[in-house]
Amino acid sequence: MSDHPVDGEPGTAPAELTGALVTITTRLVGSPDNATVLRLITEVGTGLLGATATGVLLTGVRGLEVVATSDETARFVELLQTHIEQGPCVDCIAAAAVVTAPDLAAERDRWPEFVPAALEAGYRSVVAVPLRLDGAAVGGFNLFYDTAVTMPQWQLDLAQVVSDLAVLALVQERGDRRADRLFEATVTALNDRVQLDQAVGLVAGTLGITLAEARARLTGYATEHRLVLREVTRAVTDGTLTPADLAG
Amino acid sequence: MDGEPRERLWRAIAAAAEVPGRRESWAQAVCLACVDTLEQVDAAILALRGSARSEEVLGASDQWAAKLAELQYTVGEGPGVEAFEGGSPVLVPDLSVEQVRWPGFADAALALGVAAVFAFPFQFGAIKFGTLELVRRRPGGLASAEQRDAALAADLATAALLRQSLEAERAGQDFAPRPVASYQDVNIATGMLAAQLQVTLDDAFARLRAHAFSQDRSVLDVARDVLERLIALDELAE
Repeated sequence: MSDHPVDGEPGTAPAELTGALVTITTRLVGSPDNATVLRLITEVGTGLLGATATGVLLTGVRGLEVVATSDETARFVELLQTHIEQGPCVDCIAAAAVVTAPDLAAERDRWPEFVPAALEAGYRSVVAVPLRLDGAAVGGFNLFYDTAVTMPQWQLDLAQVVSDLAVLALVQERGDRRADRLFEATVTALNDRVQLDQAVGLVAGTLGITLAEARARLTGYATEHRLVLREVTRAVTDGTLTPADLAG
Repeated sequence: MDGEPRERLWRAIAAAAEVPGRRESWAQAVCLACVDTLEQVDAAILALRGSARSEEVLGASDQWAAKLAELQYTVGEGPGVEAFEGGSPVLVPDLSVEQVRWPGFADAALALGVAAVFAFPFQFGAIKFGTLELVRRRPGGLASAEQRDAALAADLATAALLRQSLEAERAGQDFAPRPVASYQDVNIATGMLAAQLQVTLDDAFARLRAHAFSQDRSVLDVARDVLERLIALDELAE
């Protein structure tokens, strides 16, 4: 019995198998919209990082907005932070740095209105991780715990990794295609490396020169004609520029 | 906390691309952590992919894994290629029944001792750029918790790669992680062969692959022979 990827064709696999496959389909494949990325970040928070609840706040035109919470209690506590403009996430955004409160009860002086409400909701500690864009924080990822928790560095790193993805996905909805552009850049850089090597082989093979000489002619031509190397290697590999043209 | 047994995996993914004092690269550490924390997994491969002929293996948990990656690159088909092209996980619990699906890959991989492969794509919307492949020496599916964590690992690795790409951009550089296996010599040999045989690059690459396959060698070995001029061109002319 073999597994095949989900391909939308009904009847290709027994129902229970299809169900199992759907649940393991990676979340970022298909439509990486806000909902998908926020589901991933929530899952990382309550799953891998063991939080009781999580919330994501984002600065909008009308101030801080709650964009996702793992449950209703967390939603209430997050909304409270946006209304009273006080709490670990508010501070984390202002400082563009992680804010941790391993023992909330000890922070009454710092957040006099927030702490009693959070304790009432059952939370004992909080970690707030900034959603950073161009060096500034545009939001925060909050992790609430019902016990006193001091997060180890690797967990803070993991929270920051998903936060960095979340912020790019969230601004994408506002028309900033940065995440697309960054992923495309990864693919383009890889294809450029392949194209350069193929062009080196083409030039060396055609002119009967060494690989080092061929490489030097390609870069020399680019410099001389003020072209990006990628444009030269593309012209050579698609045949619009012949290796003999490079000599001049 | 059910994440605890996998701590080493999440820790490896969360780590920076280069950690001072750590010998292996980020991708290499992620592959080793996959093998370490996913009980049923014997080897792992993390590859950047741009197309059927542009690939860089960034991580391979051991030589056996690297060999399997090279085999898949040589034949141009297999679970990783399919997961990349199709944009869905490709789960193959028993490779021995997949000869029709992958006539070139299945037998050669079985001969290497591979029995099962689970491939997860790195993809963000329409943009696809790599795969995480988990390999077993014995047939059988992954337990559901392992499957879920493997898919999550692929998503988190995607996020981590985005972050590394962002850091490269900030530093004004192209994102060029250090590969454990580079097929650079294949690309150069492809260009050289295209020039000498007066054929297209695609055609030249296909001839390298076909020659390697017929000789039961890797395409990288054949490419190196071409560069060293150890293979007569007429051997590749047809």
